[in-house]
Amino acid sequence: MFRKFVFPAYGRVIGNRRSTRQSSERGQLVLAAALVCGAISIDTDLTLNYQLFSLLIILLISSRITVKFHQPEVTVRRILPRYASANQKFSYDILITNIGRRVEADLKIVDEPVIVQPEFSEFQASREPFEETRNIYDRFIGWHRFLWLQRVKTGIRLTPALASEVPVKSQVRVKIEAEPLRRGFTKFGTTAVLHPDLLGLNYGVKRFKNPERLLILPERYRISESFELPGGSNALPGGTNASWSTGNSDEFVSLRDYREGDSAKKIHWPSSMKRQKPVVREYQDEYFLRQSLILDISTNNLTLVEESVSVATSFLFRMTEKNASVDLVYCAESPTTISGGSSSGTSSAAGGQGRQLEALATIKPNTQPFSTLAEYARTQAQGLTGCVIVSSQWTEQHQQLQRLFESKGVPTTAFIIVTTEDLQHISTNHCHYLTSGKVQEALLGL
Amino acid sequence: MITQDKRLRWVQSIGILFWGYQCTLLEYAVPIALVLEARFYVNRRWQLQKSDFYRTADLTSFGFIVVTFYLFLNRANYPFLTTLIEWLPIVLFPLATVIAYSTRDKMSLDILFYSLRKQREPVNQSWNMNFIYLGVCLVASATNVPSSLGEASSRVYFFPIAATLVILALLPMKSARYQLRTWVLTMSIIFLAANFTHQSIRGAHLAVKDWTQRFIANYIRQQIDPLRTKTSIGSVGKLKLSDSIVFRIKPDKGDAAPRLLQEAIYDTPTANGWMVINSNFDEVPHSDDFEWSFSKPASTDPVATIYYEFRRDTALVPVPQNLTRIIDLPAINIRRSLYGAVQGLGLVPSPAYKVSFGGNDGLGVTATAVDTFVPPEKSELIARVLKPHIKPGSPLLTLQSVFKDYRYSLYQKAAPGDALEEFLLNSKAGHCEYFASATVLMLRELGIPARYVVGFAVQEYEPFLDMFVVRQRHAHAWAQAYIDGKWQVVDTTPSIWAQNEADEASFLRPVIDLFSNSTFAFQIWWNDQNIEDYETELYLLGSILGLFLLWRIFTSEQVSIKPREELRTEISIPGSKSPFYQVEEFLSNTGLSRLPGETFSHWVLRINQPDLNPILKRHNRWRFDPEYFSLEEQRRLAKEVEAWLQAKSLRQGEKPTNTL
Repeated sequence: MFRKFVFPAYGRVIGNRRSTRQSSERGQLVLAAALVCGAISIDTDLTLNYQLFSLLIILLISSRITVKFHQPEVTVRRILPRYASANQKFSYDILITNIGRRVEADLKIVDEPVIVQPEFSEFQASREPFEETRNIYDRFIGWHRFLWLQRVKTGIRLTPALASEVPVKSQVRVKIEAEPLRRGFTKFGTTAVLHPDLLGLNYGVKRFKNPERLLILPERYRISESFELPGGSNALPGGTNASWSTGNSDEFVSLRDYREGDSAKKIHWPSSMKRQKPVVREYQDEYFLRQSLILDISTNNLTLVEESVSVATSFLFRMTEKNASVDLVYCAESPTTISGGSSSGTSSAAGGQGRQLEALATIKPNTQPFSTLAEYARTQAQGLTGCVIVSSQWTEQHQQLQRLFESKGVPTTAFIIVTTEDLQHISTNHCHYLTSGKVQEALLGL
Repeated sequence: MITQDKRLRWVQSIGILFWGYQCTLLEYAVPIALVLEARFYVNRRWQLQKSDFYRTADLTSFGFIVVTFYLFLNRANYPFLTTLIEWLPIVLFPLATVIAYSTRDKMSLDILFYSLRKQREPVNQSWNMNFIYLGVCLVASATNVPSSLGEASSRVYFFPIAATLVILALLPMKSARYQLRTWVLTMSIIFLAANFTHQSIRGAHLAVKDWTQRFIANYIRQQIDPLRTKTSIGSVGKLKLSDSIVFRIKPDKGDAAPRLLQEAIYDTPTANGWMVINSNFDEVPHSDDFEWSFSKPASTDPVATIYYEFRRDTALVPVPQNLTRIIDLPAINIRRSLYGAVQGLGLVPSPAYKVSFGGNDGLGVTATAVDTFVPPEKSELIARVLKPHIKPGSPLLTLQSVFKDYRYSLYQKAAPGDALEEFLLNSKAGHCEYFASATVLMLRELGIPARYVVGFAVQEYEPFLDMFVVRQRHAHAWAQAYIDGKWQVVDTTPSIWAQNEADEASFLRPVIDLFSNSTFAFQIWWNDQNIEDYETELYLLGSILGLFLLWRIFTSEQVSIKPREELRTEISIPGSKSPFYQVEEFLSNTGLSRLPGETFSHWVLRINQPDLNPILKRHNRWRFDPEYFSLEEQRRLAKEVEAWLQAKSLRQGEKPTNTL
């Protein structure tokens, strides 16, 4: 009842992006001191605190006035990477250009994502991790749960950066540390440039509209190097030498930023040194493998959905690393296939794989039964060299599908994410059980 | 590498000393200032864990609670809140020291708030303890107005010193965006504005106070005045009486407690109360420093201890009517009125005094003509009421007969006419003031000298303390009659009154009483304690704690720190003495500074200064080919730089044109 009453206020407190001023830490100290002095100096006969109170109040007022002067004359530009991975910190640059005639010093750059407000029902239904360790007051008020939920829905946590000096007519890059909290698109809204006032008690806030969006890929697990993809080793009909990408050849089509899980062999050291961050080579591959990745997320358990998507993403990367052309088969509103390779058998990350990653990043749990997907997947079996099924259940229908693929000569391996360890869940060569929460360990132990 | 925050060097210590001076606590302030200032010269720090901070904070909180408790118990000797604030720097000292000598400057909120310590999510809010400590010192120093230089002058010098300290504390945080002179100018304006503001606040307060005092003085004149009392006779509605305990009485073993304690006695009726004709007070002779005799004491006289804290230095002392001695009353002098009211002069707060009583002589002198005076307008009424009841020769039986049908009531309904008349003829119900006033007038009408007495009735025994407690609502009024050559108590109020008023008590009363009585019992115990009795134990405890502290200081894990300035290590770079750096500095001052990681040649290109190219070329040779860079060439470079700088300086004001 109480929460229902205060909930709308929570959104307004944090959602407010129109303020042109913000207290600094010492400003808050001065304000607190002024309040204390004011409270105990009511009787000016007893104490001299009214003198301190006057000074602090005048300081605060002057600070509010001086913050209007000497506004920074800069422009800002955000330089985002193409992708980021959920739960993996990364950093990006913001380019500050001084267009004024003075050195801009002591700027604080706060990049602001578009805040997605949680609904009251979501707020009531969810629990912050380790909420039980908070004190009674915090638990009752629910403010921290609200903040956490808002952060997760917004999708990214950004730390402010400092630009201690931007000389005249020059550009400075500042690094913003970012922590994506979920997969999917994250929207960036404005970039705020905070400039201190003369007394350092307040910051003036100058906001720049800077809308952009960033695709956060699902969290990726590392998979044991010794794991063989189904139909991976025996399906090399050959023709062209496959060592183009795996051997010592220098041939590659492009360079891209290192992503978690990329093989260290692919790092292009000269470029990495130049850019001060790891860069990997991307090859134009010749495909001889054509594999299918079937993702089934027909479950209500959101944790299982997230883990299934992450496992599927991990295998997608593994398959493409092994030069396979991958068909991603999943069920959104209707069953869909996204092919990684073009008809000629080559691909680049921007094309098919990009679309596959985008699909995996934005896939939403749906209510379509597995039978729809199974029916559809059956028609896709033609010409495959191998198949991986990722699911959170292992029903008769799933097993039938696997048997069908096997009978058509397509080696099929299933990965089933289960909530609890159970004696019935005994992994075989073709059917691996992964316990929720311990997926990474299980994949490394394959 | 742990660095050191030197922003409050000197400022904090001066603040602490200023606090010590203002609050006359220099003996604490000097060591505290020394300990805290020493951290800027000592480069050893304790490597402390969060739990260590928690324990220090707990110790500080414990100290705070002890101090609060102590001040509460001794609130008669010290003003509670202001003393607490004045002592805060001492209480916070352990926490401030531990943080100052630890490897962090900031104190996160969970150190202070116990409820945040358990949570898994890290606590982000944190405060710089050094600034907080300075602030606490300033607030504490403002809480006392020292009398050494006179109040007026301390009001004058406090502001400049405190303001300077605050401004000095803000100086290191000045942003590089602003020039020092702008800052200084603004601060001067702020200083003057604040000076004006605080004087206005003071002026406004004085004006408001003056006005309120006059306002209140016109309305409230209800302090007990030995010369005049105003009764509630005539006021309509329910009389509200407080349950709070005024004082407690403990009779000596085997003795009886006095039943009534009188405060003031009056002889002249006025329109709505009583007053005295003769307001003279006589000094009572001392027999001892704190003992006053009123009549010839007998060794068998009962003695009672009265636990009553006087709030003012001149007050009426509640005493039994047949008082013989007052013992241990911490007053400079005691005076008594002709009628027997006892007034203490120069009273200091002290928990108790003793009275012995039981003499045959009352306190008042013999009756005077005024004591039989009945105002003419009341005379007829009184006579009419008395007439049917008169029993010749026995005035007390007469009164008994009169008041037989009267009830006790705290409630008065509105009625026209004289309130006493309404009481006597119609309502026949009232409180003690009605009964006492009527009784005095009736006695006088019967020809017996009588006076009106106010005081307290002693009637509630408190087994927990083995004492009688006297509450506000036990305040009582009765009559005194001069019969058989001495003053005697005539109390005609129906004895039901005590029960009647007790029934009005709040249901929370037992809880409040328990608290009040426990504090009282503790305070009595506390007052009996003497620090000298515990000297050995205290020294022993102190030395054990001191040894423990020394042991902890020398055995705890410590780390070395480097001040922030020393962080830039000196590496000898060839050509580091090149005059070209003057050029860089010059251009930086005009806003054309080099970006981090930008080479000189890129920079010269970016800021569009082609005339620098030959100079840079020479500089680079010194820098990167030092072995073949002769002294001759060094000199030439210096000359070129000088010439370039001169040329630029000539055109000062005109900023170098540049394009991106």
